[in-house]
Amino acid sequence: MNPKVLLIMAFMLGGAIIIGIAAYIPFAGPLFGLLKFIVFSMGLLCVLVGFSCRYYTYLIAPILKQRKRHIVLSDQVPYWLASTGDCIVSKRAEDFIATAYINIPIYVSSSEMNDEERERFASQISRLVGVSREPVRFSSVLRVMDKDDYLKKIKELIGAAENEENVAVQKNDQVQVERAKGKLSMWKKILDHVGSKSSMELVTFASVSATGGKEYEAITIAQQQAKELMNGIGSILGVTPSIIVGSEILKLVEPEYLIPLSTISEEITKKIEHGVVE
Amino acid sequence: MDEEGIVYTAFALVVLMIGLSFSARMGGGILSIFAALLVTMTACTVVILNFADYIVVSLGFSTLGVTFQPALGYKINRQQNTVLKEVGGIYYATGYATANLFAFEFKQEIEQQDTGAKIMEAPLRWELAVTNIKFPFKYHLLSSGLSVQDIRDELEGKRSYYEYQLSKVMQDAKDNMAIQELQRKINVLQRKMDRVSGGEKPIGSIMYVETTAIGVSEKAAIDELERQISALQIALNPMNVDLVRVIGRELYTLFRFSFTIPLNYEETRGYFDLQS
Repeated sequence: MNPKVLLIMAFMLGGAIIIGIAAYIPFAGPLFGLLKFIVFSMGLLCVLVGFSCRYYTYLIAPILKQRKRHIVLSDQVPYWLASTGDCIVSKRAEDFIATAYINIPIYVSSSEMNDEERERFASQISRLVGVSREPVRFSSVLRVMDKDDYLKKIKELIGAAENEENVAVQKNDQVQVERAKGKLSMWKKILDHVGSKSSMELVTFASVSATGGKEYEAITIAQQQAKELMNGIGSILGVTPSIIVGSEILKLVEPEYLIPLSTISEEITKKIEHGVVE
Repeated sequence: MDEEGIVYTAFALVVLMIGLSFSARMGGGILSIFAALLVTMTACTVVILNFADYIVVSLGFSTLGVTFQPALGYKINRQQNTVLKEVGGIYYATGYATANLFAFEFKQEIEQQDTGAKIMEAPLRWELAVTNIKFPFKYHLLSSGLSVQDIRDELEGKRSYYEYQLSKVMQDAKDNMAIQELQRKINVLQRKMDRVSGGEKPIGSIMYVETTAIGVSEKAAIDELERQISALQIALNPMNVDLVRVIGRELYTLFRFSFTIPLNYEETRGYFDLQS
């Protein structure tokens, strides 16, 4: 039987027994009357706690133990990256749960499709959702693109174009000077355009979990389920899904990877300026 | 209310009824009256908890100013509607909202004429909605394929039960409202059975959106999160999605889904009433 059901029944029956005991405590004075009432109230509290155990088992023990304003449900990290690097692992009681993430590369836009293609695509998505008997989570993540490396490359190209212009000026080669100026102007416009606002990227992925008594067991089963899911996704959508590994998993799990640090500093600066102006 | 909820509520109320009958043995007078009142209040609390536990419990924790640490480095605020994380002096506030697409479709009596057109427009509407969102967000669909035979048996059982009720009610031809209501329920079930027979795979699904906002303080991040969730409601409006903010125990559950997915359908059902 489910341990949670046993806990609920235990609390409720315990509450009933305590209420019964309260009823049969002899009434031999006001103090005994008060004692009966207190025991009776404890019985009712037991019944209430038992009923709450349906959804709040995870809260009851920490609240009773800690009795503070800030309750710690867990002081452990929620997960760690597996040694194989292809999934994350967490612990629940004595079992390990491994979660694998699968990238679904969809690069087609519905604005480029005709009606028939859109209907087919929607039908493919419907089939995709029911591809597995085990729970699978399909997700679309819209995050701010990290353009720092790309902007750095453009700045390097601007520097190179400026050098080219200087060399051409020294050689007094007007054709080369005009060419270098044109190149410089182009890269500067690209830098202004790309760097003026944040760009967003949409990533679609699926995630599946598996449990095992040992860490490697959970990881193996999760990878097996992921491979089966990849076959299903590939055959339905006609794409080549892949397992997400290493630090790429963190981008899907941790909130700080949704926005690059450079964008955060810009946004906070803008908000502060906006606040000052107002 | 699902069957499990009915069983637990009934069991609790039976125990409380026994308590009520024992309240007379509290010595009579004011103590017995207080005991009976306490039992009544407990019974009301049980019923309220059954239907809206996430509101009541969250309100209680919010009033007492209780916060939670669901895992190292994370914090659930006193309103129980945001998960906060601090990294390098920047606060990240994550909120969740239910987002059941086309929920009304599953409750229609007859197939709507424009279903095909809606299916064709869906990918374009999704792209247009996403294009208008300028902050990070995630759309999640947690789904589990169900056994076709089990679902068919369940639907047939329910239909037989409603047909039996209808036959009894039709003997009293005056109760037109009850007849109409039962016929409506039978039509809804029949439509679901037709869809399953037509090859559509039954699935249990939960759909929700998650968005993260940043701020230099907890309050700034939470305020920005509120703004983002309102913006999401506007952006996803063309998809006929009604975003309802997730609070309390369900927030904790969705937070854990970031790292571990439920392992089977029964576990998923244990956390929520499924949306479809």
